[in-house]
Amino acid sequence: MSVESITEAGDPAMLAAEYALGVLDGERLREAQRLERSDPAFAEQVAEWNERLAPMLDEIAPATPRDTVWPAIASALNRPDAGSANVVKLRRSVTAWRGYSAAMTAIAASLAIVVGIDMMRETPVAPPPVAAPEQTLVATLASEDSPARLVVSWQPGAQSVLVTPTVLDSPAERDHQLWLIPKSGTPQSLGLLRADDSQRVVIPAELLRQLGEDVSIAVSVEPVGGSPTGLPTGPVIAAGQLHTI
Amino acid sequence: MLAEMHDRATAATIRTDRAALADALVRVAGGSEAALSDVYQRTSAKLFGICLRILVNRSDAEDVLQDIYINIWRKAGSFDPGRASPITWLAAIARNRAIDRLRSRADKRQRPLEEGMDVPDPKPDATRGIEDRQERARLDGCIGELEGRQAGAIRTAFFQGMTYAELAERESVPLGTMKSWVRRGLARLRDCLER
Repeated sequence: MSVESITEAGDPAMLAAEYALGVLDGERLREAQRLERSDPAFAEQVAEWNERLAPMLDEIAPATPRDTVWPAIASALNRPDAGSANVVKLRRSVTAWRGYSAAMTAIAASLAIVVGIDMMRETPVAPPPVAAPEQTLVATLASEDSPARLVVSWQPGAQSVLVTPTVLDSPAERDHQLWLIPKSGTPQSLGLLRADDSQRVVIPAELLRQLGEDVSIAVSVEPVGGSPTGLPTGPVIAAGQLHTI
Repeated sequence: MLAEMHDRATAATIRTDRAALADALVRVAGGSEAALSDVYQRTSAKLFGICLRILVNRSDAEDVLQDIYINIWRKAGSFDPGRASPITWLAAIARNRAIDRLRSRADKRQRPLEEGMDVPDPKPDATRGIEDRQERARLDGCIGELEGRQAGAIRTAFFQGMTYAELAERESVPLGTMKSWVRRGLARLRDCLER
């Protein structure tokens, strides 16, 4: 389509572009919103413009929100009205939490209940007030031969990783063991995993230095109590590498 | 055993990221909270960066980030993995919600127009695939081909959520002039990207 034809103000293609860019207001904005809901071809054009413009967002540096944000989201999902969660109410409740000294207790409680993070393994520390320049590293552990899937994330500077099994069976008479595989080679045990919830796994100081981009993490199935040899002995059911997100 | 672990780690990595995120969104649509947690872990730093850039105020940005994931929870069913890139879909939601918040705020901050020609160099970025870096370089190149005032208006609208009327006021030009700049800029941008 030529420049002339889409610079026509009444052209739906131009309207989709203007809407995706966000410059519309008033009646034109309402018209675009209505079309997006009712006209699949128009919605497609908006999506195409979102794709065209999205690379600009890559120049924005990632930033780390405080640890209180996810518990507030998880808590909202678990309300009876979650299907139509009242976002205004949520925002108010979060603002209120923030203002009270009991906030950490409430958040810790909801975290333990909702997400199931084992708070006892690591004392919560106050998050930095300004975005840390370091980016979170995330590994998705998976394998072709097993449905197991876990997500491991690590905030540079933290002394633990957060392990979230999204699919993980509880094998009978066996344990899951988490391994760090440094670039130098020998797998290092990070301990046993529970299958049913997110957990923080504390990393020994000498291994913390090994964590970083492209470092592999894996889960193997081991005898109860963990590998007797200090190296993986059972099948590796999931593995992946840490990358910045 | 060791070689096997390395092989699997590599194989897992190759098909991860985009596919895993799309997969997680599909599971969110099915009502899986664990999947939403997965999506949050993968994307919150990027989406929070977008909120912070647009809103500047950290507390507002965190509030909006919460709205965004509640929104994702509700809207995941409308994500079509065959059509949209998952991170683009999420980033568009984040940008739109942040701009909505900005507009509802009384004290819009007053910042100068974004520089049109002075597009930052696309830095090599380990977090993105080669294809993504190419897309970014391509878009930057096409924006660089626009007239400075067209590029500046488009970038300001994109990053600061300004409407035609606000852009025109900021630049002290008639509304029709600003519309013409932006429309011509968008049209040329599209032609350039499709070359």
